[in-house]
Amino acid sequence: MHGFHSTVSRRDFMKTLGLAGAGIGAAAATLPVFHDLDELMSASQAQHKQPWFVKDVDKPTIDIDWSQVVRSDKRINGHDGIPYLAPSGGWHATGDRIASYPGGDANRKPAEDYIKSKFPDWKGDTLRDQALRQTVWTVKRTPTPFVCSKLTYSPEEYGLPRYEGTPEENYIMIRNLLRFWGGGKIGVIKLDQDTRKVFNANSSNKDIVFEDVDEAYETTTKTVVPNKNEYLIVALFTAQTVLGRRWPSLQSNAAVMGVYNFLSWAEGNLQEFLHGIGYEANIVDNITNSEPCGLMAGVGENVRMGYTVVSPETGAMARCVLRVITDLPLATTKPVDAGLNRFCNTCKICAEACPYNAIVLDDAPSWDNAAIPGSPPGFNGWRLKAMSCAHCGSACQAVCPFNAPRETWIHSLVAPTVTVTPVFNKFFADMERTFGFGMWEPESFWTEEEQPIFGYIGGILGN
Amino acid sequence: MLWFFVGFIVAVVVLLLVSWLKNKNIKLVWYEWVIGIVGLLLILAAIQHYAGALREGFAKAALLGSLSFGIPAIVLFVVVWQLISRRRRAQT
Repeated sequence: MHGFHSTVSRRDFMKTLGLAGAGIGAAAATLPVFHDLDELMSASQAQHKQPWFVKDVDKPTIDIDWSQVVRSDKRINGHDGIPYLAPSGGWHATGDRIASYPGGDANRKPAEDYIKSKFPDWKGDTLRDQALRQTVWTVKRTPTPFVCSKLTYSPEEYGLPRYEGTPEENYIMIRNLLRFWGGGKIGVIKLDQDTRKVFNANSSNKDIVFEDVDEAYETTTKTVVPNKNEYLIVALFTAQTVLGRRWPSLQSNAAVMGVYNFLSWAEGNLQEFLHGIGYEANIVDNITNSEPCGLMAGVGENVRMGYTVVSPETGAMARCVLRVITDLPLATTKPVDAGLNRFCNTCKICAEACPYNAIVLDDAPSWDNAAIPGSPPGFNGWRLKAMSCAHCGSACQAVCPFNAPRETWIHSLVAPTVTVTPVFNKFFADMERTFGFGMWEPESFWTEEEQPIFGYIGGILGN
Repeated sequence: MLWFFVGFIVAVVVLLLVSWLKNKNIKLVWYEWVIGIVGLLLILAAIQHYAGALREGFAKAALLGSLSFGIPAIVLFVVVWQLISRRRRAQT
């Protein structure tokens, strides 16, 4: 009868219980419970890990000839060192629709025609679409000053020495903080003679100059970047997917500016945090070009859309790029290769979608910048026909195949396959078209029964 | 939750099938098992694709994908059924 109910003796049971208890105790002791910042920064489990198929590489997936790269001058060029076709503004109501023409923004018509070609039942943007679009301006954006406002106490004010950590520890600390503030993929570049060319030569009618000074400062004629602030922190901020996938409807513009609000909040916080631990930080979004920063820091690749950093984790939903320089020593990151740039050779879905024909349909990237007015020299990559781009907000980004949040097993298979071999790229792009992936119907935003919190679909944040 | 029910249903169907085969004294050749298992995997792939594509927000892709995997699965099941029934007919 001894073994009738159980084949485990009481002694074995107690022994097992002891082992299990020890196991649970050991597991509890090793679980990450953060008590202070020192623990947060050293928590290996909090590290962002890129998918296994994304490779760190020594050079970006496009060739860059830094000797040919010139610092852009925003007195001549617009966004990201390029001129663009700015919407002319002005709106005109027709019935219950906010029509952008006649009498309004004629540049908007191609975008509207594009949406109608995809969704014939869509009649145009409505009053609530326009109202949603305008909400992004109702909250004052967090100021993002180049020179720190010093709102946090410095270590000197406490009578303490500044925080010291190894570059690796500091990198993990910054990465954990930026993830906490909504950042996606995070990288660091150590600025040198070449990479300083990501800084504009002139912005807001001020010359951007590097000097051996202790603190950054601005005058009416120049913005002075301290040479000692040689670490450039780069982070991707992802547009809210539920509206990002509905670009270029008017409502979806709320996702464009909405994520810029998150960005401002995060970089302001980061700047003040670094001041609080004894270091200087300068927000340089407005005086650097985003794409080369993103490429060199390894947060994404150059793609057919040009001037858009597409990441293997968040696809083309990554809308803006945080750029902050600091004198905090940081471990640097490498560029990445996830096969994205190569996939663009055959895909062309974004170019077909562009209502303004601003994206080239070539079969390979090019060194030739002369063929595209306003395009910068010095790299063998994809270039946007910026003079044609209306910043519709953005049809191209909404349809990029890399936006797939990998909820289906087939998407989980496609992403690594693209990295390993280009053989199936055309087939994958054709399937993307056939299966009807791409833009979502705009009006359905108002009728769907449940939306994800903050409009982010799980997985698209690269978690 | 979806996969709990899928697992439950698959387990019940496989149990009933094996029991029925035993009762009828039907023995499957190894390649019939292989074809049947491939068919089952395709059915599971179709279900996962359907649910996943709906979560991604693409109803058309959900339908097309599930048909792409589901129809070959049904064809494979029919092949196994025909192989068995023709062999039994030949035996009797």
